[in-house]
Amino acid sequence: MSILAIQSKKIKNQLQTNKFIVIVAIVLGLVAAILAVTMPTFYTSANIQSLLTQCSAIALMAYGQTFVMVSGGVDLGTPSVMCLSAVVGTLVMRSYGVFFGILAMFSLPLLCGLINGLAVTRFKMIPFVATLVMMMLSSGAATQLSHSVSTPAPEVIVAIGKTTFIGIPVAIWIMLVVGVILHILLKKTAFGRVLFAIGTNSDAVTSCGIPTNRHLVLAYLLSSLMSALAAFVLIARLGASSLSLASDSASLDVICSAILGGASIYGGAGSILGAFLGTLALQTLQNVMNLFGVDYFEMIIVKGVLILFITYFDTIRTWLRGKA
Amino acid sequence: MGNFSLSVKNVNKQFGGVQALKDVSFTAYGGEALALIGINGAGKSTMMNILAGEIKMDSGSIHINEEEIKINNQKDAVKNRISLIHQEAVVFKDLSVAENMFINQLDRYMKNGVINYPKMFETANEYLGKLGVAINPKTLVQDITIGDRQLLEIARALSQDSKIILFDEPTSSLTIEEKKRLFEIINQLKQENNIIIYITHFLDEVLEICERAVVMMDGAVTGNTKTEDATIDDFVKMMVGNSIETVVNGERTISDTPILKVKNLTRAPMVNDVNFIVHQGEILGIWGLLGSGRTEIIRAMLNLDKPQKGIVEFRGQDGKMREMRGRKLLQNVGYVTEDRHVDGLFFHMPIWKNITIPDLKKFGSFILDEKKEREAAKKQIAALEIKTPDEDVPVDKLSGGNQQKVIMARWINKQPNLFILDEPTRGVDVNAKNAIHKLIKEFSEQGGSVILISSEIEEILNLSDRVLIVKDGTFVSEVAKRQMTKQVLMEQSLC
Repeated sequence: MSILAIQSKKIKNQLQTNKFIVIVAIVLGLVAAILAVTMPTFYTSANIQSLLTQCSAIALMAYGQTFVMVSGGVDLGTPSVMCLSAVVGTLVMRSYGVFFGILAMFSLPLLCGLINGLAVTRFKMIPFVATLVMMMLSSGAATQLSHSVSTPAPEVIVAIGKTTFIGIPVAIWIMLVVGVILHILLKKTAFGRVLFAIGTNSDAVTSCGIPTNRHLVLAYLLSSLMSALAAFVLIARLGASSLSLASDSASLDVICSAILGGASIYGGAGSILGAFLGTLALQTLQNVMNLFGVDYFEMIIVKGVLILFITYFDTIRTWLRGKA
Repeated sequence: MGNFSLSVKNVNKQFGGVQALKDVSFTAYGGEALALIGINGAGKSTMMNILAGEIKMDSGSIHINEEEIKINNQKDAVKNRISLIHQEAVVFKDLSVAENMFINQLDRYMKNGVINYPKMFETANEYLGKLGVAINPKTLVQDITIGDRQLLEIARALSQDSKIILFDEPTSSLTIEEKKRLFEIINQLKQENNIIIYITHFLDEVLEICERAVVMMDGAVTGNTKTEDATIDDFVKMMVGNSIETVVNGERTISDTPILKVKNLTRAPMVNDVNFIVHQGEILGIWGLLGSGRTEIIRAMLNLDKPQKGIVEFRGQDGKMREMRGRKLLQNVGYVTEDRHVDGLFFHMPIWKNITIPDLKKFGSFILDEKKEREAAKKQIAALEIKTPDEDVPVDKLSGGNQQKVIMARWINKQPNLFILDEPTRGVDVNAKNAIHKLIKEFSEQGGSVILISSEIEEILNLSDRVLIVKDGTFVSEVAKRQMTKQVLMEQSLC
């Protein structure tokens, strides 16, 4: 193969890697343009702020999801673990105070993440099944513990939710700051690099003497930690926990946002910036459909088609990558 | 049917730039077993695959009873009643024995859109009975032994009315009992006037079961003889040629400081009580046939497959030998795996990330210094002459030789004391091969130790200071530099 041919293939490859972010940006731009013409009122700062606030919990979970997907796995349980965390957190806060509440809120999801990680590494379960089980366990436990009624959060928590900094709500700050930190963790550190390597060829990682299992467990722990953080953001904003925090399709929303942002169901690809943009695109689409009066069930159909399209696109992309 | 015969005439086949078969001609007769022997890469398997319709020849002809036939695909082979019994039986583990037997003729048992199982089981029993084996056709294949799976393939061939049966290394994973049974069946097939072609490394089997033998070397036929007229010595000479090789690098004095000690390493059934020592600055060759357990020994030593028994000691920075295993050991050696596609490279990742991966600590305790990483990679790309525009090219865009150089670069960059190289030049061109050989020599001259596994006898001869011969999962003998010739290595590993 001539040097020139390799060079041109290399450029093609790079374009393919970045194509996802470009596509998401174009979709976002198109939606924005349509909105500008048909519904100029969309662009009030209040509306934008509310959109971003709505994004925050999903975006946090999509970040965690991205780490797991980069390693070649998937975490179906992120929203249910988030819901369990919120329910347990508010219940403990009511009986034992805010401190223990927050402790429970973060330690329980970490336990879930540890179980996921060990199931995948020690017991060699496929991530889909292991996390599906976790999803059922945690949503079952959340229903049982909450008796299907909502539990209010203490004043302090609600006050945190109402705090703004330079006019921007704390939920948005958390989404942005955590996003930057995780972006660095994924793209700039040895931990992130090894996760990409595991998602590309885990046997090769093992033959290099790198503790593959330890990295995988950490990825699942991180995903669960993001669920806990999302739970915190939500109860602070809404002032209460309830089962409706995680809708039926929430798990798909999270995975869909991550994939839309360039994560691959085959592992070895993904980015935090992408996950953020993906969440934004999905939520904007949902808002627009709301504004145009599309009803809830039709909206689920549209989302279903979107997921079909982007996962198919992911398959094509992986195929191209193998081919090129 | 006394004159039943299969002839191949002037068959040629080229793969890329390599002439895999050169004017191959031979004839096999009904009622006889013809052995096809030669070292790895001699072209035996290519010839078999042509007869079985799995690959097409470039030129030449195939005749049955003096009549030319065309074999373009597997269907043609079946039509001409030719079946190949694979080294590893091609079976579907989750299906029953009978279903496996008739997998490509299920329509014969279809009635109103469903399979007539009673009829199928009955017919399966018939064929198994002919072979004199007692396997219940309803058993799932995953529950029968490897030997029985092979018999299943033979029964499948019989059910297709095959009269020409090709065996590719049939005994390499059989127990002694199973081997005996297989030979009885082959004898029976011979009595029924079938043609048997038998590929093997094991010359004692040739003498036992085959009437005639065709010897191949480098794609050409170098011998064609009745087995009763030849000895094992004669065969070895035909297999490796009469040329007297000159050993490229002469004998060196190797320090007797051990760097690695392996004691009683066992992982049944492929690794049996292995003991050896690697010295500082030494290139230790490990020579054995395919399936002798050479890769398995290394994998067990590194705990990639958990051994049942055994101690591995490695010399630390302080010069003391201490027990070490698994990941700890992997962190201290450079392991080039047998197949770079399987557990070597990260294909979609750029060259520089492939090179720095085992040693990321060197490039930053938390945030990686990407610039430093790229510089280290560039240095290796230049030193090893990896042909690429820059370090950003994903490794799957490189040629096989350059890919292998990337793996070497990975370990040279890390500077371990011990290299473990399993087939370091498989599928690479001559230039890359020479470059890799040079690297190995340089590494050992600078005091590094090397364990070298290779299927290429020249590679072992040219590089090794000492060779251990593996057979049946253990080291059976040791050959010093001055005794090293092709004949010696072949004889020791065959007999």
